[in-house]
Amino acid sequence: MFGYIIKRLLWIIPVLIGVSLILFGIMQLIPGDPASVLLGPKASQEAVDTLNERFGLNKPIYTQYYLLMKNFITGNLESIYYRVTVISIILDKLKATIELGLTSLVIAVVLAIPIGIVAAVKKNSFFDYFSMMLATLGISVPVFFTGIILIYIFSVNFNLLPSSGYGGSLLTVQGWRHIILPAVSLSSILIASTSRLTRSSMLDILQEDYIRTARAKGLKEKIVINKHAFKNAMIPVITNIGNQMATLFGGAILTETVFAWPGIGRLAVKAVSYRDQPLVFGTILVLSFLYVLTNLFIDILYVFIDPQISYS
Amino acid sequence: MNKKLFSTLLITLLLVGLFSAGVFAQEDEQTLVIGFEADVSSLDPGFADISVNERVNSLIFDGLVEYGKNNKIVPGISFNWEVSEDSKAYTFHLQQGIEFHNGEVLTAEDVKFTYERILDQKNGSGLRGKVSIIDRIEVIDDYTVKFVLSEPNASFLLAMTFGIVPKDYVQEVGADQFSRNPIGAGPFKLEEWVPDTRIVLTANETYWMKDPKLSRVIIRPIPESSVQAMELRSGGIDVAVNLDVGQLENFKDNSQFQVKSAPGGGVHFFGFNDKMAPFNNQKFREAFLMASPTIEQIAPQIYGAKGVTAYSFVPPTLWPDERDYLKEQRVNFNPEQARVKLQELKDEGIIDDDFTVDIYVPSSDNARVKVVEALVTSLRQAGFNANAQVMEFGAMWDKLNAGEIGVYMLSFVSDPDPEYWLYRWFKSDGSLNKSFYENDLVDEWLTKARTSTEQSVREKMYSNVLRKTLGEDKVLVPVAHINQIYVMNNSVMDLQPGNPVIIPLVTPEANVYLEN
Repeated sequence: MFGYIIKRLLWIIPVLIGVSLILFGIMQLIPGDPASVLLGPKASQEAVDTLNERFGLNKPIYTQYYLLMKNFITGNLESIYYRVTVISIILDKLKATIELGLTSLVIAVVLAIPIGIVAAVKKNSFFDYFSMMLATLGISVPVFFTGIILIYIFSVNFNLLPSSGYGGSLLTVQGWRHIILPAVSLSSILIASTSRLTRSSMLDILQEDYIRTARAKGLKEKIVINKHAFKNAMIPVITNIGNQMATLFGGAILTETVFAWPGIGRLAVKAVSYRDQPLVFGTILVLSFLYVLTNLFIDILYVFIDPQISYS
Repeated sequence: MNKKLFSTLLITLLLVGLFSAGVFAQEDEQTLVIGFEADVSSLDPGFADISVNERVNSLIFDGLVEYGKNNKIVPGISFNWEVSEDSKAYTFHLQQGIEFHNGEVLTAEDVKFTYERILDQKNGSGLRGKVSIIDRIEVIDDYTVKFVLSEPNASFLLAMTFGIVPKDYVQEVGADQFSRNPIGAGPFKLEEWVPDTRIVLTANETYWMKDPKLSRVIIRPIPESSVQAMELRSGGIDVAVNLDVGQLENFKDNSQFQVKSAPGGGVHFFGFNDKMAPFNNQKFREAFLMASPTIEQIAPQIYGAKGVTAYSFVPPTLWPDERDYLKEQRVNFNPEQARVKLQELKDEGIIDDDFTVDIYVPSSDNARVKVVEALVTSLRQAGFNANAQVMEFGAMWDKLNAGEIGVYMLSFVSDPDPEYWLYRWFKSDGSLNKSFYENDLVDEWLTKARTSTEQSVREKMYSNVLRKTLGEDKVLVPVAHINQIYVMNNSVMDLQPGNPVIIPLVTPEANVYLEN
């Protein structure tokens, strides 16, 4: 197991090098050069040249790649737009993103899995129909819209929660007050997909022979569901959550925009629109790293859920 | 106690605590919260070439001169100045005893340092172009500084509005640190800057001009216009700048809010490529304009309170006022005639039967995209093949520079002097001459206006330029002058929009405060 983890961790290096090459290639293909986009129509040719010189944008392509990689690894990569190191910006935003992502994940898991299980156990009941209708709604309504509606109800109408912005660390009341609305709206999609998946997965498992056996030997229904069915039903659910986590961390752009949340998704979009190559490079690499790491984490989690899976 | 009951109670308590915290959390009485459309990237006034940066900088820093009423230049740190006879030397006398936020006294050395820093090519400041005519800066004594120009320049004083930075502090902490923790001599000091979240400023109690009535200013970047509107309603912010047209309508009839607008947000316009056929053909341009009701009829609907129909390239608040003349020269909407002209163009072989007009517009601005879409529809009705090419700005800018675009729609805003508006767009070698327009006479007028310091001469020259380029040649077709609009709750007093590069909280005219 330990050896497997080390091996997987080492694999991250070639993966990231691959990502960096593809990324660099794409950045070369995007029309629009950083200097003229950033400095805008007001800039003189002289200012454009100076900026290109300063960030090495006039050097041959292979030198540019080498400089990007070298500076990224040593932590000296500097953002063209912000004029400070890329890593300091990313770390700053990463905190907000992870806080938001984890909070929505917790909300989603705490709500969705019980809903899914109850819906499966009480199949065709009112609860089943109602919760699955909500789930369909959750999947179909864009996060953007959910967010605006939540703001309208909780901030504008009842004035209970702040409508946007980052309130600081989650150790403070302000921090929590600010995170509730964005986290709930971001979790809506995850709640929907997870509860539906839990339900269908549970339904499949409940048909299995070993469940019938468990019931036949006179186990209490509670134990049958919680111990025998639940664990096995969780494998596809966890895979789904794992995949969605990447969305929570990197793709929460709409939620971040609506709630003016200073996260990394918005940063990435801003970096691309400013053609801030170093920042795009750094942000996407860090996001890819997070994604690979999350996948590894999920793979390891399987071992604890399903004894049939082992990596030796 | 029952375990279930206990946990229910605990959760209820927690929720009540969370939800009610906002009701009791009251901000200081004189704290103004402003919503911005984007975050600031740097607070170094030497690099303030992005609008949001400029606006926040105007609160922290003061310049040698300031913008006064109607954007006229009035004394700032320099209470008085003299211009030499050849108009090439400006001597500024500084107020004595002005202190930076850290208590250091502002002297002529700081002024010299501020401008030399912008002039130094190594620093790559985007503001350099505006001051590159400075030949040298001499410190006469602690409170007198002299700028010597390489040639006379009538709009030079506008560049003297740049914020003065403290030499010792900048040298001590370096440029990067300074851009995050700036110290100036303006009405507010930086207390805290959490990127993408908020900038908190507190009143500078030793401010030289007057005591700021506001004790704190909080600037919050809220990119989504609809959210900014909701924040305004829920009391999260006191002032919203640059709301979308749709949001504005809801506030106009609401007695709890004030909507103030003033010209000064720039001009939206079409441009034709003067080097690409058939866009350089006068007859084609006329046919194109005859087919488009956009400018007189559609634009007012699209812009609403956000803009007024434009005939001139320079804003109505700026001279020379050639609106009446240019209005007369405008090609009137006449789809029948457009059809005839289009056929003639085809018969004469100027355009092919299947010729398509691609109108390029950046995707970032809804209003402009709508104008282009409306225009495309009317062009098609008049028999043109037309498409809207909505592109991301960077990509479009590249194509524009490469001369691959025949007709484009852009926006432009600059400082309040026609020099800044006309020189770069119409001079043959102007940095913004995206139409690749070349005309010796126009070049001559522009140069003469730039170097003359006589108002009547400059006015005449710029009138000539506008009449020739817009009236006769129709290189650019102005669509709308954009208003700058502040929406604020009724407690905000003394705040007036009007200059896109500053937030006029504490100026020679105004001292904003909140009334309960």
